[in-house]
Amino acid sequence: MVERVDRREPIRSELDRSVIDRARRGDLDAFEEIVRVRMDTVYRLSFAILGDDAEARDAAQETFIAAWRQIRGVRDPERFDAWLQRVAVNAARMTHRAGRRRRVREIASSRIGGMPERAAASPAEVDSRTLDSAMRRLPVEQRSILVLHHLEGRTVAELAEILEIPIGTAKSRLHTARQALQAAIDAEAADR
Amino acid sequence: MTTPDPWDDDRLAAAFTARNAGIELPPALVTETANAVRQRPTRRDAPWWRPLPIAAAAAVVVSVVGLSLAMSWRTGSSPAPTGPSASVPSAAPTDAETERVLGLPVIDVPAALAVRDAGEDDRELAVRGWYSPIFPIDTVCPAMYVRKDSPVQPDNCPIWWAVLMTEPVTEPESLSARRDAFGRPLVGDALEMDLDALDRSGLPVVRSAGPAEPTEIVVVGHFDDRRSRLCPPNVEQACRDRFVVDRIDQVAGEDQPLSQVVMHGGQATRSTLVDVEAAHALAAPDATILSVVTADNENIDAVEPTLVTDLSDLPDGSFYLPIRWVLYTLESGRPQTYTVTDGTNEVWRMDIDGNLFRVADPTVTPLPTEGPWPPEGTAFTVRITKDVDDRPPFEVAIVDRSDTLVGAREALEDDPVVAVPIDGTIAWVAAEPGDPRSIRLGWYGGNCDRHTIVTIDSLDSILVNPNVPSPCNVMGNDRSLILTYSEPVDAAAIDVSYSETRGESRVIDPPPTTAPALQDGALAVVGVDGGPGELFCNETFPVSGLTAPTGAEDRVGPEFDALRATLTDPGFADGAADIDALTWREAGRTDDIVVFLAEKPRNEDERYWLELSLRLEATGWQFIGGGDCQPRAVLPEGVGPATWILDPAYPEPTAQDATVHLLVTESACASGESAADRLAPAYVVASPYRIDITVGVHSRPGGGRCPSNPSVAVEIDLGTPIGGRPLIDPNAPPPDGTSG
Repeated sequence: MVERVDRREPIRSELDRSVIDRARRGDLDAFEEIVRVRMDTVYRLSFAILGDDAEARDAAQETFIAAWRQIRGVRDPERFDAWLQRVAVNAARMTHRAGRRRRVREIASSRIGGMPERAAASPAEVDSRTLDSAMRRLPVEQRSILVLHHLEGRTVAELAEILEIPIGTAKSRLHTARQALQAAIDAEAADR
Repeated sequence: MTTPDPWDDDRLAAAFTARNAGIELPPALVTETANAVRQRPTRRDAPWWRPLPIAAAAAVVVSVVGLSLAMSWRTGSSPAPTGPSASVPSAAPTDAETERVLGLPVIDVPAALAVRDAGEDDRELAVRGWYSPIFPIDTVCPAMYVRKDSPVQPDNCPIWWAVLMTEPVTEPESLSARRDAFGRPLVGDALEMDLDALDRSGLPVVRSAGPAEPTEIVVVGHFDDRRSRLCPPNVEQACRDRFVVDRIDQVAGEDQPLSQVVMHGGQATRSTLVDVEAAHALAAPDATILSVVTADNENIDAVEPTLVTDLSDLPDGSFYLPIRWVLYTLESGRPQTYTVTDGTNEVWRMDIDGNLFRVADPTVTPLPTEGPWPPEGTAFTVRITKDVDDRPPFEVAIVDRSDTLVGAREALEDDPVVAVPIDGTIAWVAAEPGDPRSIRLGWYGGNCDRHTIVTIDSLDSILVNPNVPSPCNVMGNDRSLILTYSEPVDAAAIDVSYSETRGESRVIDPPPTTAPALQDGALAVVGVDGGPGELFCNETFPVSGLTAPTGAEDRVGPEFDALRATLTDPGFADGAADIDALTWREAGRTDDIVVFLAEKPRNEDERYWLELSLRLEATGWQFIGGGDCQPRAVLPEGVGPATWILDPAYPEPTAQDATVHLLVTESACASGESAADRLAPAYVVASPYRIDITVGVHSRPGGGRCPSNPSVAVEIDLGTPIGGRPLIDPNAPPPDGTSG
């Protein structure tokens, strides 16, 4: 049985502001501390957007490489996590673009082994499979905003901050993505 | 079929959580990432770039990196300068009064050095001297490259040196002397050049066996580059003393082409060099372009660090950062940098601090869209100007094939708000409040195109073609069109589709449903002079591909890089020895396939087509096939083949005739029915040595018995005199398909 995690309270270890400040000044050891503490969050976000272990792995790594390049530009360390999520969303988009021509989807053996038997699947697990298929029908930009909102629990205002767009635009995009997802889910159901 | 259950937010959140619940962090990912970060302390240390054309020089230089870092040959005990070699002619005497390049007097190296040593002076200089790339000597490299803060900062551990000498010294490395950990100044009458932002394929390359033969060159460049101020204080003077070359003007007396260096991977530019040059000429008529770099945000710091955009500063709606064209120019005798935004062709001028100021609105720039603008058949051209999120203005050409459109305009603030239907598609239509004859049309996207084509096929069909890939169009939220028809229209019944394929709406005609092809015995023709229709030659491409511009082998872009690489690939060239000497046309393309054609002489009188196709793979554009080809018509869906013979009721056509009379026979079983009212337009594909006429017939509904079908007499205007060319029916079984 999979233990559920409340989407509104994502597990995030505390990150000392001094660590961020040191990293902003070029302290590589401090940045490595950020990698260690935030990798799990970034990897999960990347996977949720991309739905692919290999791509998520690449995207997570690219996130931190890009973050290291840009960390000097972080203006408000208090909003570091929002900034890192923005970097992660962009890295996911770039990774997906680079890898979208892949003919074969890689599935880690750990994932295969972890998949429950169909007969034992709970409604949520059935839904998760439907969701997984439906998400693949959407562009990465729409997947990103859906993941940030429905998995990460980001409010519309936070989406606007992460994506650096007006709140009205965030609301509109979320609505559009939500409708697109419903259409994709319906299409998945119709295909069965 | 059951009605799908609606998913509310809680159900969706639970599904998301379940979907991610089994995810385990790969155990080595943290360590691997930390190592990756440590290996890439800055992007300046390992810029990725690719000169055009792909320079053998680059490959050679890269190949000797390991050697140069560890080499011990010609150490500090290198021989004294040898002076001019008796076997090599000395540099021509410079006459500032008679020899000029781009209006600049050509000076020699000592004169250039005098400018350098006289104080801060960044004027452009044209310098003649002798060039021979050399390995660095006795370099002590630190374990890791020292960070470079400026593109003009000397490498502390260079893999080669670019030295311009007064005389053709055969061992130019003897001109160098040891300097500190940040590099070594040159002594004697030679200067160190910075060629980093130039295509060096015309220059001799560094060789592992020793220095290259000195070559006389003329370069245009400057000292005291503005980017020297980005260098660390302890090396700023060394930065200022570098001669930053903006143009390699001559090599061994040969004029050199404009240098273009590409610093972006996988993503083709949307503007062409012609677009950019024209836009720049309008904005800065007194500036002469010396060299060009195209770079994306990931790589632009290799040339202009101040232009790097922090991804956290991405503007609204933009998951996309356009490529920048960086133009190094000569203006009023000094270096001046401009940039042009790819796709929009906005022109920006750079100040000494690296800040940009827009000097030209994109409205004055040339067209990024291939072909004429507006396209043929345009009924209305609407300029979209509503200011939303700083998106630029752009134009929409509306092609009306329905003959029902009576008006088109931009929806503005005063127009009623419409409820935008959201169904996950990119383009949408909605009823216009209070006007049953009007609809609202919009589509989503980012911000980089200039022109969009909307084709009204009928009252219930619209095609939106932005000519650039999504999300690269500028309509986006809160911008829309109001289209007004001559009769009431049901917005809900309109099928609106969206195509990214460049120019698609100008190529594809709706298939004829009746028999407009045959009128008064004359059969309509497609495929002449680039008309609509498709051909097949290992891959499918539009008929217009046969007459597409040649010179694809010289165009800029990753697919053209791959074309060049293929043409010079020994394995491919074995089968066609002079394939790289041909000029190629881009005959057609899809998102991931590009088809090139070239005409190749078979003998003095005949030519034939060669086809070469590339496919976009994860690793970039790859060669997938090629060879001889004879383009054949692709009959539209619902059209079957027919064969023809010359109509014996008419005299055989002569070489001067451009009209032929045929008897057409449907190939499919048609129960003996005449095809007279079902003929499709014929394809005429004329080459210098043959004329192919392909005839098709709209299929009958249902099956049919197979008595012999009656022939239909038709007349075809070939659009060109037959000359000595045979008329060929590609549908006829050999050998009877050839006539005349």
